[in-house]
Amino acid sequence: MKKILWRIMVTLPILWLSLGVITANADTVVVQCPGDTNGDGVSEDPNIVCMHISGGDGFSRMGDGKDLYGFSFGLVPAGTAPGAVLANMGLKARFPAPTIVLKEGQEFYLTMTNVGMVMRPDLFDPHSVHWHGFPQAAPIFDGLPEPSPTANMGASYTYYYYAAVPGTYFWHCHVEAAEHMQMGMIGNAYILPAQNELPNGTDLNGFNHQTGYKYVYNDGDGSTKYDVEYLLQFTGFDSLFHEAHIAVQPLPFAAMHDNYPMINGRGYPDTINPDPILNQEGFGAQHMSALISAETGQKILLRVSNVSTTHIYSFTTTLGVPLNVIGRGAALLRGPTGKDTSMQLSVLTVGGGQMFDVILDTTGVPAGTYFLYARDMGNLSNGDEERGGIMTEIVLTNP
Amino acid sequence: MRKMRSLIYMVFVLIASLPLWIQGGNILAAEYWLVADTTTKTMPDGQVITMWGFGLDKDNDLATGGPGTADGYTISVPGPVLRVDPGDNTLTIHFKNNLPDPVSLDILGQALAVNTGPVWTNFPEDTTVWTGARPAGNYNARVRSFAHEASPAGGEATYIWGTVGKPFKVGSHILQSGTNPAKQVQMGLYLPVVKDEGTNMAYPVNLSVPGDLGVPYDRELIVVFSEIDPEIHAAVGAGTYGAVPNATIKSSIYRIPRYSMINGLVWPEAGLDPVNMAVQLYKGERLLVRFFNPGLETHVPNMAGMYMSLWAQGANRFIYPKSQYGFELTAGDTVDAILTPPDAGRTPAYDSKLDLTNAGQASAGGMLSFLYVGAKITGEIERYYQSVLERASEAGGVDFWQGQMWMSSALCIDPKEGYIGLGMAFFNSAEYISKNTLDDQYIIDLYETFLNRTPSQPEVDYWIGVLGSGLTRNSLLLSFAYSEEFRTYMEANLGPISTRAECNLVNDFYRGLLARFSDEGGFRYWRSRMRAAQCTGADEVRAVSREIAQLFAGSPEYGARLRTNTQFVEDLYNAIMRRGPDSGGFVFWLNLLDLGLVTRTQLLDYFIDSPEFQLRVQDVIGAGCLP
Amino acid sequence: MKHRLRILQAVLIFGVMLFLGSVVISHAMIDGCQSTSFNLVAKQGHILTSDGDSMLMWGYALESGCPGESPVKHPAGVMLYPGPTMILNEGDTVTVTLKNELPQQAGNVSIVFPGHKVTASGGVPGLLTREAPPDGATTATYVFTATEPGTYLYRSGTRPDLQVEMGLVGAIIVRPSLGPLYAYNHLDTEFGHEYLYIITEMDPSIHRQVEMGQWAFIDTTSYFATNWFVNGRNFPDLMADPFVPWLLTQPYNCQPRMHVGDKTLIRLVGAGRDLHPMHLHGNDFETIAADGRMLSSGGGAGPDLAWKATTIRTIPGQTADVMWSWTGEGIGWDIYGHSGGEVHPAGAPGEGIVICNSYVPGNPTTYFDPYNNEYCPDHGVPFPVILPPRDAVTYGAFYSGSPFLGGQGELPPGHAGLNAAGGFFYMWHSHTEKELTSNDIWPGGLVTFMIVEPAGVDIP
Repeated sequence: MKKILWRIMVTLPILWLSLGVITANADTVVVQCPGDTNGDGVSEDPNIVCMHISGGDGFSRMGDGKDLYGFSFGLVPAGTAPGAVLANMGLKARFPAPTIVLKEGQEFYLTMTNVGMVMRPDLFDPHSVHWHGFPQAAPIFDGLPEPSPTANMGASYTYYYYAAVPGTYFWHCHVEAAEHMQMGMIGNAYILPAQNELPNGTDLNGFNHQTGYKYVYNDGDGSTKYDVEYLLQFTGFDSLFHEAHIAVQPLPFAAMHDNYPMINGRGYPDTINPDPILNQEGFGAQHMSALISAETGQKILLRVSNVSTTHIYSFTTTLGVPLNVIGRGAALLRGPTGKDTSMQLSVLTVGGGQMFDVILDTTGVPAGTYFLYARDMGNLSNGDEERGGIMTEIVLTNP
Repeated sequence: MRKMRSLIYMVFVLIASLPLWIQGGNILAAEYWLVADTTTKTMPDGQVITMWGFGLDKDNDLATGGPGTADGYTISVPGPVLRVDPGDNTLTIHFKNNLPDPVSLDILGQALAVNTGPVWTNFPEDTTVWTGARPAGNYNARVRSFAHEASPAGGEATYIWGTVGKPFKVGSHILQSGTNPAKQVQMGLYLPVVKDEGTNMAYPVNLSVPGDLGVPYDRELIVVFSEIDPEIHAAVGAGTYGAVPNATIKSSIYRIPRYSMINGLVWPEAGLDPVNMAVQLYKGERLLVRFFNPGLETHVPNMAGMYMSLWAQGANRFIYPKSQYGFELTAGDTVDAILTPPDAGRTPAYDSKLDLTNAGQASAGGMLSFLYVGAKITGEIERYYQSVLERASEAGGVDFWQGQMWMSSALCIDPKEGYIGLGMAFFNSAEYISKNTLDDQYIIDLYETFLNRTPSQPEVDYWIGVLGSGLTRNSLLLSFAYSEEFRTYMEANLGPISTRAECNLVNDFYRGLLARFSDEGGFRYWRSRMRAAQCTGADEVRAVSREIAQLFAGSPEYGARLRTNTQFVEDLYNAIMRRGPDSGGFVFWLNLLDLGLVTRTQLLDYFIDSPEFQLRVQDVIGAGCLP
Repeated sequence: MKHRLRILQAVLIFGVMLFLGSVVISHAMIDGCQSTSFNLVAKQGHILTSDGDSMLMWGYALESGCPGESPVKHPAGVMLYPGPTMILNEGDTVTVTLKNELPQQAGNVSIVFPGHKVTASGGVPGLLTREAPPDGATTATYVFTATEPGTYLYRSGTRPDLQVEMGLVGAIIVRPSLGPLYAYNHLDTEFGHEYLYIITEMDPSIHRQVEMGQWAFIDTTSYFATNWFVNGRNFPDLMADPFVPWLLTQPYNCQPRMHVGDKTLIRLVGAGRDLHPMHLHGNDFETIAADGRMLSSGGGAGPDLAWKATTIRTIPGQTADVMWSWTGEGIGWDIYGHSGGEVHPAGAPGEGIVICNSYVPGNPTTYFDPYNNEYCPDHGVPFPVILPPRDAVTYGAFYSGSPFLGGQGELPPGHAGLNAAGGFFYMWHSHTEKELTSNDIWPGGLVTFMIVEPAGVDIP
């Protein structure tokens, strides 16, 4: 049982039922990070993780070289003074947004500061964080604008999550989600299982756990052990929507149709580029490569999600081994009585809002370069450019 | 075309590539010679589509001959089904590329045993080629081919999947182009590859599940879903697709399929009704349906709402089957399902995603087909052999007749007709005639054959009397074939039978005048004429009925049968009246004919104009317009 | 200038006061017509979409209402979108007749019942089944026996690429012999509430072409949906009551509600042409059945192959059943804002008893309060953060002003106040987020809200 003493200090007597709000602090950029005694944005309590992000706008460069305007979240460097956030974080939206990684049992304080849209000063949109798929969520931290408050421009909102359930999730802004997600307010998130932290030599139903072993879930038998892990977040941009946005035109919701399908915010061949992709501002908004590399014989974990607002995507690889889907929606694929419901597939379909944990066992696969690509192959395009889109490379080397 | 087994060749290849494999011992291999070339497909609406497809080289040398020649190949979309036998460790394809682009081969879910690719090029120029690995530090090159290429316009390459240590995987696979697949697969470069675990066993037993029996089956049906965007096909055909300077369509991001195909066909093309013409399927049998989607869109196969047991996806067996009447079949995926049809009949099988039009036309089109489930009486054909010919069937005899009956009923003809046709053939065979059976024995034979019972003496006496009044033996046979007792007996064994009237009416002329089973092409022609007439109006049905009767009676095939007047009258009752004649009528008409008071043509017209035949025509009219 | 619907229609009316309701346990059941005889007529009619439009539809009308329904809810002779939800009992033999009052150009019409063995008679022959010609008189008849419990659908089997688009769809629920509060004949499929999600799409251009008689222009290969429906309504209309007079042709709503710890069955029907990844906020669900068959290893094992997720793709022509619950387990703070020691309030179950007084740390069987299903390890744990000042945030229309279940807080002037009871609202929606619009207007389309109500709020 966790019982955190600091709460007693920071939580005022329950006011919600009477007053509803606590008296406003003059400065609305507020970072809440319990246990951070020196103000560097990092909690001294190892079980508390803090992160500060900005919600705003920026540009991303597509696989055909075109820069598209978008919204997303930036990573506010730990320790940034509250007064400097709005000034520093303009046009620093990352695409995808910063990745959230937690260990099971940790408490996470995520402060999102709405820094406004530099290129759209006419807009006053709030932003939010919706941790997608979080089990037993409460509306107050669900980021949904309808049943909760969402941060206005210039304000911060601290979300709290107790990392109770390991697995692959993702997160996004849920304010006017069709627009804000299309514009790019999407990011990865996952929680590592407590099984990773077991003492060396622990017996897991006949499987011998060793320190350093990594699992996707608390499987109890080592069946979700992997060696290397990669995030694959599928999404797409509809360039007409983004162009209408920066041109301050009516937004074409009905016509929305992603024509730049991407992995981790990039279209092939940018997917294999290990470096950040620089946009027209010279900022590396697209910080995530999608190149997959491993040694032969290793088990590669793919944490797969789809955040497209228009498309369901299906992918396959040329490795010649099945996509071993061991998790779905941040849950181990096992029935209520323990029956194995994992799936071995050659093509995996990922709808918007779906997450899958896929293990590729490269045992017996020769060293070389292989391909992971959208088998619904219209999506092998960067807009009007062929041989792009949702494709990346898997490079296997001999150990 | 033909599959070759070449142990020597395989050993040679393996020595050349990976000598250590030889130690694996017995090497069994499937080997094919495959060609890629252009072809065209004419749609029912007249649109001609440029396609790229595969065909098997007819003499396995890739050397000579062009499309359609005896020493060449026939290109189809999808390409031919390639089978890898249960014991085969490898699949080898010798490939020749007659297309204007480089092509490589790829099987989804299985890697090549030897891959001397992949191939990257600069983009969009596509002029510099890197093979094997991406050049260090180059993040702009784009993969062109997942494996080594066969050069355009005649280049050859060999592809091998599976090794002794890691044999070719059991299941249903899609072979496709591994070169710019968004373009090339879309154009038609795909085909099914199938490997069974054992004879009539699709997947192995899962020993960890108590009572698991593997996935046995009685029949197998292959169903391939894919689509065509005619504008993209036209651009590829004109060389204006993709990253080329004069491109009209640059990528497939806005692809809009206008035609949705099952096995390369759109409704109402022949081959979809039934989709299993070549697969004899009877109620209660385990049909393995191998669903392939080499297309670029999701489809949702639905077998008329009948539940299937889904056993495998992407050639990966499930631990437990899923019972569903439809399922999501993703682009690039395969699903293997067992369907055990509970009833005989014709049931629609289509895409629940409702891609059911050809280019937007109002009439039905696209991914619509019909599954025909037959009914048969086990041992019945053998019983006919015993009953009529008094002997066991010759080798292949039962299968031959069963096949004839299958085709007949699958074409929508009353399943009873198959047994009637069999009886007619046997009783009129030289073998039976040479027995010189006496009349009473003939009558007993009719009873035993058609009604499966021994007659009483009064029954025999009655029919002897009928024969004595001037009726022929075949007239008697018809009386038995169209008796209420025969119908009852057959339906008790086959189940209730409902047949559309036009199907039987057309078949009556094949049986009555040509004394044979309907052939598929001819029958389909007349059936479609009749169905068009049913949608036009009663007069048109009457006109077509007259036309078919006159054309068949005047046909060279009928003329060549050299029928006597007696036989001619017998045939008219058979074909036009669909019954055995009454002796009064039979003798009356025969006398008129023999005396020269009417010509055969006139007699035919009398029969056509008779109220009795016109009542049958009325049934055809009443069956209504079938869309 | 953004083009959005900025003001939600005030359609939520919860006339129930906290803790004043009776403690009788109620079960929300799906609205439909329970009968074994349905006389349907294919008709034209108009529906209202939340973007303010009125669209021509074709739908199945109940010729003379729902037989024996009392009080009468289903209107007689009115085009319904979707068609009447047929509520059947396992073993029922059902007769459905169909007449066709659509315009001549619509052609024949029919019904297919995937998953059921149907005997069709009457009418005229069609490709998939017998059809009713557009003469308003000729009747096609379909008879089937509901042999297996579960969730099913029916839809047109005639030119379905057009007729399904135009609205000729409906759902079938077959209740098991085990009882109406079970989804299937297995104890593990028991539920407290059930809700139906018939998902359909609309390409308005096709409907306009039909309305204007431009038959030759209709090309369903160019079909591109821009409006989406649950049970025939868009958000937020689907939150209104069922059978409201101003949505005469759209009788069914979709407003799931439950109490903490209840089990809610969601019956998903992919009635249209597209796949929709339906995402449930708040907690994960368990998929227990597809196409009216439990996901089971067989042998009476029940849904032992059920899978958990938070998003499920609905498949055209297919159905799925998922089970959902919510307790706040592991949330890390007290969802009621209690500081410990409070008693169950007057009129509520456990009145006067100290909440979570039987909780024993380390004994999971005591983790949930027996009266209100509260997760006791978090009982009394303080709220973890300070919320921003009210002028720094925008309050949603369903925010009660308090983060706590059953809580209330001061709302800014002009706030709609649509959550007076302090329920927890969870959006259940398509995660193809474009589909959260109604024909270019945000918000709309495939949005629904599950409301986890505080104890004492009755759920009808």
